[in-house]
Amino acid sequence: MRASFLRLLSRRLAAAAPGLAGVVVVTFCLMRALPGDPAAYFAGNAATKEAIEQVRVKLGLDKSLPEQFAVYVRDLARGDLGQSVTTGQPVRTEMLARLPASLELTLTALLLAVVVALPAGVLAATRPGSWVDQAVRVLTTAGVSLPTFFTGILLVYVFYYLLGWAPSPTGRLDSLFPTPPRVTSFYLVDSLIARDFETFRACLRQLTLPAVTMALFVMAPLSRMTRASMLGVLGSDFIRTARASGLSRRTVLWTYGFRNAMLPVVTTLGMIFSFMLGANVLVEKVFAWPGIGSFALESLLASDYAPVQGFILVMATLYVLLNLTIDILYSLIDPRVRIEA
Amino acid sequence: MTAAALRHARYVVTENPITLVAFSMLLMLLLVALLGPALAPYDPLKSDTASTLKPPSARHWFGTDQLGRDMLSRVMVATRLDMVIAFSAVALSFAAGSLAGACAGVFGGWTERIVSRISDTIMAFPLFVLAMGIVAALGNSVFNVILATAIINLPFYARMARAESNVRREAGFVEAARLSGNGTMRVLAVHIYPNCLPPMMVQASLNLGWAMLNAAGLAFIGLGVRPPTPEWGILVAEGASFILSGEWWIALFPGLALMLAVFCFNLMGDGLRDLIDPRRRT
Amino acid sequence: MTVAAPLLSVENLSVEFRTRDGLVKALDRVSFDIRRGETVGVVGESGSGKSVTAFAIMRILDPAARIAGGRVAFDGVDLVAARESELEARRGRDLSMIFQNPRTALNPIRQVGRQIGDVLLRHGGVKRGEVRSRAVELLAQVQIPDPERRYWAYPFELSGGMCQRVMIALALACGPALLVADEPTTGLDVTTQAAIMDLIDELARAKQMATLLITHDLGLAALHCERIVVMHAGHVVESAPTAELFASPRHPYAAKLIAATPGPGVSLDELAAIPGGLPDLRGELPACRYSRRCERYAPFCDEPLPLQEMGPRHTVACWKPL
Repeated sequence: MRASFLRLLSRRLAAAAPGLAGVVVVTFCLMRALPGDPAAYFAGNAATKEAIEQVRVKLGLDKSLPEQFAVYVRDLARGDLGQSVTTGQPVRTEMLARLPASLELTLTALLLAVVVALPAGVLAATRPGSWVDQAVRVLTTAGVSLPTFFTGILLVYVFYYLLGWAPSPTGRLDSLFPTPPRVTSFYLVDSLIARDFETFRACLRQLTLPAVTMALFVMAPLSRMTRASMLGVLGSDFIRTARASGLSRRTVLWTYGFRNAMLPVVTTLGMIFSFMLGANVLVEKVFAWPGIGSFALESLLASDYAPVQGFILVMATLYVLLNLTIDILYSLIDPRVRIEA
Repeated sequence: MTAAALRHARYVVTENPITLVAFSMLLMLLLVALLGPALAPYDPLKSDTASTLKPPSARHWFGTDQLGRDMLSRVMVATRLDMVIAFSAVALSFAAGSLAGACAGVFGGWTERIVSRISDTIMAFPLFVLAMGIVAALGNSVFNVILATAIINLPFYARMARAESNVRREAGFVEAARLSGNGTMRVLAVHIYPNCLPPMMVQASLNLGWAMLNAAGLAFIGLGVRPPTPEWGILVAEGASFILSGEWWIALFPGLALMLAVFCFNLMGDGLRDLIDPRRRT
Repeated sequence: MTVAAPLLSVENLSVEFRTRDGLVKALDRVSFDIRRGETVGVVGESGSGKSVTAFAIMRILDPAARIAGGRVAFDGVDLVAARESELEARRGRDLSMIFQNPRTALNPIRQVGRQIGDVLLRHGGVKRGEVRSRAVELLAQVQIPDPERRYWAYPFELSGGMCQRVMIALALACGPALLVADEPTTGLDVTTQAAIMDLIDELARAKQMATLLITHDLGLAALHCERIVVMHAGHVVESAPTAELFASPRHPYAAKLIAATPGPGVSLDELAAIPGGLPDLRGELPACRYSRRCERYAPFCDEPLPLQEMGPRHTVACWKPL
């Protein structure tokens, strides 16, 4: 079994490689097409033509496009994502510093969505046509229709301005509290490790609204998929056999129904994560969350292309890795895929 | 249409009164989009410094923004732009994607490989991020927003069309046609392509909502459509900064309009799906 | 001499389905009974209501279906009136079912041995530690080679015949008094068919188990059943001991059915087709649902159907039996 698993893994990795290659090429082309002259920006307002030319050579922008691409790929292989013109730091450092913030937000939102959407979908499937089912359908359709940025703003208005329950949307942690000592860079985890429960609560409060905003949108496709999948599974022959064998309702629903229904839901998770990676930018803007999304946005509007390039690459790579994980997860659940591999 | 199809349609509509409601709301929105500026009570671009930041009242149903512009007029006029972007983008990706997919399915070989490669590359990106990159690279214009949205939706149609036409190719449509003297292109155009369309129609109506959200999202972060052009995303962005000081109406109404339109598209898509292929109902 | 009460007694069972096009009266006052240890076959065309009868007895009908009347007395208990919790307790333990298409009837992502184990844990009174060995025993009983290894197999790794054997093991795990077999051999090749039927016969004999065999294959029923119930369009038209039925069928439809069944020595051009088709089960139906296809039709056939006794345990629902 171990050998076949490794074979599966290597085959999936090989399949993912051309995708990544395509991403690198496309990103390069896009970024080179960005308006604005980074050399001029970097050289400063008062720079002379010669100074700008010097900077251009220094940045390697005088070489031909294929040459620049070669340099780019070579640097990538070494892990060098270039330099941010606006902050003066290597892009890699900036990314690493800000990635945990984005990941903490995205993962919390995903967890929240799963915890709400899955049971809702199962519930709707066990009572097809009932008011519960209709309610879930309408709510989920409404959820999918909400623009993420609008939801965020609305939530801020209601829960911060009107009710005062939520803290002001100014980032990960209120300046009153010390940042927890860095272990994982996830503030929630780190504050628990340091047993600083005050800070933990403060972090949680800051995280709530942005995570809910992101989760609301993905709850919809998740619960719909769960419902559809459950309905499909519950109508299948083997469920009938299970019922005819007198197995308890709970066993039929969960061991026989839910496990089989999870297969397409797991593949939906890929699509959902793709959306979340994109929504990151919007949510981070609304809540002033110091993640890679807001960094990329600021850089983009300043024509600082290296961070944007790095952002796109990181996102795409994360996505490819995630799909890989999902593939593997799927094959762990479904023996038909595993054994025939 | 046959009597059975009509009966089925009536059954679906009565089972889903919501679909009917969605359809009528959509018609209303389309009307506003078409008539746009003619319906608006005020000039959406005209500022009135005497009445800035006024909450909703009898004079200004949706209130006014920081430059004294009437929000109702701005929201109404923005309807046209958002609808145009959504429909154009979906039409473009539908046409290009389905054609590419059908060709790939029928011809196979290099055609299929190229189309697959392009689709896969697009799908390797988180789609909104790719749209951001395309608009940023090509420049801020309505056309580029439409193009970017069309590009990121391409793979869905290409894949569907390819699958459908593959099935037909395997079933022998192509060989049979060739044997009876028809060229492959004719077979493709007359027999295979039209049959791929129904399931893609459903996808298209669902995509309309997604395309609209995409465009609005891009505008929100400052890409694509730029102020002072009224577009729902921009209006929400402008209103966002005022939310914290309590002027909720500037962001709320455009956001609600956006949500309503997308909601209608989604409900319509669901209804269409029930009509065309009830087995796939979710 | 007192006759023992039958194990299963279906009395005037009527089932309706709500559909888009109206109410379908799938079963109309179906009655028959099965004694302990007896093998009874239910035969008829596709759509005659055979499977619906089986599902109704097990109470696993589709949600769109409704039992409109009658009772199903099993071991003294009316299954129609029983609560779901009681039914859940009895299914699998006192009466169980095997289905067509054994591959799809088993959970595709759960090992077959564990599926048997689930039933054992639920009803079998088997301790957790003994479940596996008991399941392997059952697999051996249904003549699956190498049962120890096959315990861990998934349905897709087994042939159709083997899957059906697993289903039989599953159904018989807790020693039920009645086995309902819904077209158990359809879709299997002829040799496997024979093997499966022989296995069922053998196990039924060994465990003194009654069997209700649903099939459209009259020949199969003739080989394995002691009594046969012939159904047409939701009605029981004739029910008799097998030998009597084949020797002298009394209902016109049953006679035609037998004449249409190829047997050894019968050439194909001697086969008689049955004219007409099944009536539309929605809307108004005549008292005898076969009357519109019957050449012996007379006006009095529109009277409510009688149940004529033609002999011991031989009944016919016809005004003009042959």
